[in-house]
Amino acid sequence: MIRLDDVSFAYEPGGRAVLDRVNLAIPEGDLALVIGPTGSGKSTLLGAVCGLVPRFSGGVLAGTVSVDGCDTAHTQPRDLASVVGYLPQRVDDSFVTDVVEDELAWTMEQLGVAPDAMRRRVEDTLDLLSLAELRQRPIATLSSGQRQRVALGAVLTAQPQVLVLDEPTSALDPQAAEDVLAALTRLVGDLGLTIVCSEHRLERVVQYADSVVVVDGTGRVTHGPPDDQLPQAPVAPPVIELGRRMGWRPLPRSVRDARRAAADLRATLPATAPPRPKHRAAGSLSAPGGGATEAASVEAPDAARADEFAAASAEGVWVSYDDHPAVRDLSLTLRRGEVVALMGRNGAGKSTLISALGGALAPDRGRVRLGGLNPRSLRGPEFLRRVGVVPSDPTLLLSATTVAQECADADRETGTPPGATAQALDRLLPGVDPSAHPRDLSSGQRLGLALALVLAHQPALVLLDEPTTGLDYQAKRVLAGWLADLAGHGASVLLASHDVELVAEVAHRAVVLADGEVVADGPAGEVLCHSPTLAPQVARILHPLTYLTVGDVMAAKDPPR
Amino acid sequence: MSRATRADHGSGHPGAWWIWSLLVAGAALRTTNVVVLLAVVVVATQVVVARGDPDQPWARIQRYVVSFAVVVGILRLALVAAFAPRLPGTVLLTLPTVDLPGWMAGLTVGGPVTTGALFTGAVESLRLIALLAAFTVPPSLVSPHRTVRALPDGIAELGIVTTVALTVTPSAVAHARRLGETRRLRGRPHRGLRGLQGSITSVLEGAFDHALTLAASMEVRGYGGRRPDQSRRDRRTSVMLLVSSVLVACLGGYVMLDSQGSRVVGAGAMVVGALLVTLALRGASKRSVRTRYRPLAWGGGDWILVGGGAAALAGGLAQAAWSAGALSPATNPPSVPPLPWWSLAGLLVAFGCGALSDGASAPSPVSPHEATA
Repeated sequence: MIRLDDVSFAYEPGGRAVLDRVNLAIPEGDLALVIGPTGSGKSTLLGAVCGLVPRFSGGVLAGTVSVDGCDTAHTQPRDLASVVGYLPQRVDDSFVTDVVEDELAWTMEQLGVAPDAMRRRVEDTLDLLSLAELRQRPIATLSSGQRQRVALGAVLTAQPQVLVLDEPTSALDPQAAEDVLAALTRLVGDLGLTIVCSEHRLERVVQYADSVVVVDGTGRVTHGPPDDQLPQAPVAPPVIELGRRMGWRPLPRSVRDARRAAADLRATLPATAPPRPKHRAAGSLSAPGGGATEAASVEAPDAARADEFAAASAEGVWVSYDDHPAVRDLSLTLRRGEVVALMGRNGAGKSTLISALGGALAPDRGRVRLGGLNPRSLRGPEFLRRVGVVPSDPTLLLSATTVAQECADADRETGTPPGATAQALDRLLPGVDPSAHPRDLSSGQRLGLALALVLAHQPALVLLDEPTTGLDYQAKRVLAGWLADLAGHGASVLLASHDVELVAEVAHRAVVLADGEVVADGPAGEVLCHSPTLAPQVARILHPLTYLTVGDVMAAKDPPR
Repeated sequence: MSRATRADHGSGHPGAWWIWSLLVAGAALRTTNVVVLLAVVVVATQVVVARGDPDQPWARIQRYVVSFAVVVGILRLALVAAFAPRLPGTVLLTLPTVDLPGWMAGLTVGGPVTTGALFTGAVESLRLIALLAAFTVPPSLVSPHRTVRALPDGIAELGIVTTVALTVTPSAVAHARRLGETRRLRGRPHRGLRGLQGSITSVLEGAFDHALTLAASMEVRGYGGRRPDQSRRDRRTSVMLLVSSVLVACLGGYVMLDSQGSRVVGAGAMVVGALLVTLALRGASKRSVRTRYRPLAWGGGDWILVGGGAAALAGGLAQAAWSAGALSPATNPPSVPPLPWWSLAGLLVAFGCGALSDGASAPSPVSPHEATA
């Protein structure tokens, strides 16, 4: 169905090859999963399949890409539209109309589908993606999970034979992601669609993949069955990681397979994980080993002394948009030295709470205090010293024309030693070109840059809104190390994320929001293990034992001396 | 076809609103009676107040444009005073004259400012405001996306530009609004020239990124696909035909507006131009592959709207036929103008139809569910 023969791509003639003599063939009816580190060229590969690279990206493409027998070099993407459906990474920028139903029909209108058929297919798609009750809603008023489903539906209505999906679930909460993936696997099964899909959250998709395409970042691309590809893949979800460490063969890909393999392990492990050491060597923000000497347990500071430790607090906060309350009467105290995970569905009020704590918006009622001050009164260096915010769209933080300039600006403005921000970025995502324009980076690299800008100077309160979209496992590990290190130095961290694996890795405490209210607040281990949707993979594999991460398991197996 | 059409969100067919506003604007032409002009402004703005959805960003278009027109009108008056044309009337004040070089003969700067000159200037400014108020009614009431849906297929090239502009502009505005916030997040001062430069770059880059993504998305989704049998020459011919027929129609309109022009010639050219445009569009639509999903319905409410607009124009014509004096009251000396009853009655009907015709519509059940969260 899809053939790449000797395909090479570089942004400049003779420049660094993003893809280097790639050969692969994806047969009809396959779900091919494209994986690789952040910025390795996954999106470029997907763009080449649907003809957008090099037409809309610039650069030089050599070799032939053919889809269903059509050479993309000689066929305009618009003429391929009935064969290939493409879902871009930033779906919000891809909507052409303003109402759900119109958006679903738009592609068909362009292809000249007969009105009766259009009507039928729109209804089918509304049902397939559970969008029926949203059909007349303006797209701008939907939550990100709903928007993702609308964008997918708009592609599906045209009934293409090939779907090219660029990170279709990265912005979704675990439940919404499962819904989208369930719809996709149904399509593969029922209609024989060929799907090429890139995803960083491998734990969500790896079990559905028929084959795996690994893009390793040097331009080399390999394609093969999951069992051959996954053991050596540069990125691995916890279930694979655990399988590799335990030496399980064949490597389990789903929690179900892993549970079978883990029967012995469950019998030998103690019921609860040993306490974690406070600092890990993985990547501290300050000089390596800086704070590792203070041995301390992972437990959050004593709740009874909360006031003394309060770094930030919200008291009875209400925030509404157009009479619709996004946060209702919410009270939350963040203590020093604590990493708090903020979880909940898309649209539960997480971003709103972060905006209120960071002073971006004033609550309608209630009070927000940062160390006794109103966050809205903080300005300039005073603000930077106290608060670091990474908003859900990290490009909002970027304004310089090169990565190096951006880092230098941050060093100057925050008063950190020159070079600190650039070093932090290099530790998070090695190999980002300092002379590149921030907007030319991949979306994961942009997020990494924003994280480095905000975290390098170690603010007292860190507010992160979904800081993992597009980051590979290695970068997430470094980020987890940073957050633990910041907390170890007395900062408090609030992390809004759907990424249960990162939360399991780093959070002391988890707060779950629903409809703008706190529905659960407690130690991360308890909150995560007791929720069917929020439990990380290791917890599912080892249930009823309460282990959250592969690190916990390894520590229990070989206790550190 | 009624099964496949729909009577849903929005408020009437965009075409009906455009016809209404053209006809109401027609009532403001060729009159210097301040009462008629003011009535057009009131009717146009009050219809938007009555029918607009204040939550939608486009509902503010009229307010912005009319405010802008008021500023332009005031500037225009100042220019009239400065380059005072020698119109009769009481001299209000005398500005110092500037001697201009000989080759600029015929132009005077300064000199006596007469009531006649000022009054004529004010009426012209008011007419501009009235026309703009009338023409901004449809864009203020109907979602731009709905308007694009109602556009004929023949102008696909225009469609991509319009769609990108329609989508990217609000997002750029939203981005610009958040700039203060993002500068705060980087601990930067809110003002300052360097900051401003960075901010403008960031907004433009963001808008450009968005536009490119959207254009790419439209491309992969098959926008502008054409039938295999259509040659490039066919397309060029149809575009040429369209452009020339629009030109003919515009020329006709110009002749109509010019007080010395012949009405018959003007009206004739407009009608011929409009016919040619229709033919050109129909031809182009035939060549397009595109089909329509639930085309916008033209309901009873839309006929009422058109009727209301026609009443406004008919009122103006009746006034011209039976008591033309009221349409161009004396400007020297400026007097309280006589009431043009026919025109006013027509405009009142237009207002009633505009404000009450419930078209095919009930407002869409929008619950602004987590717009930002």
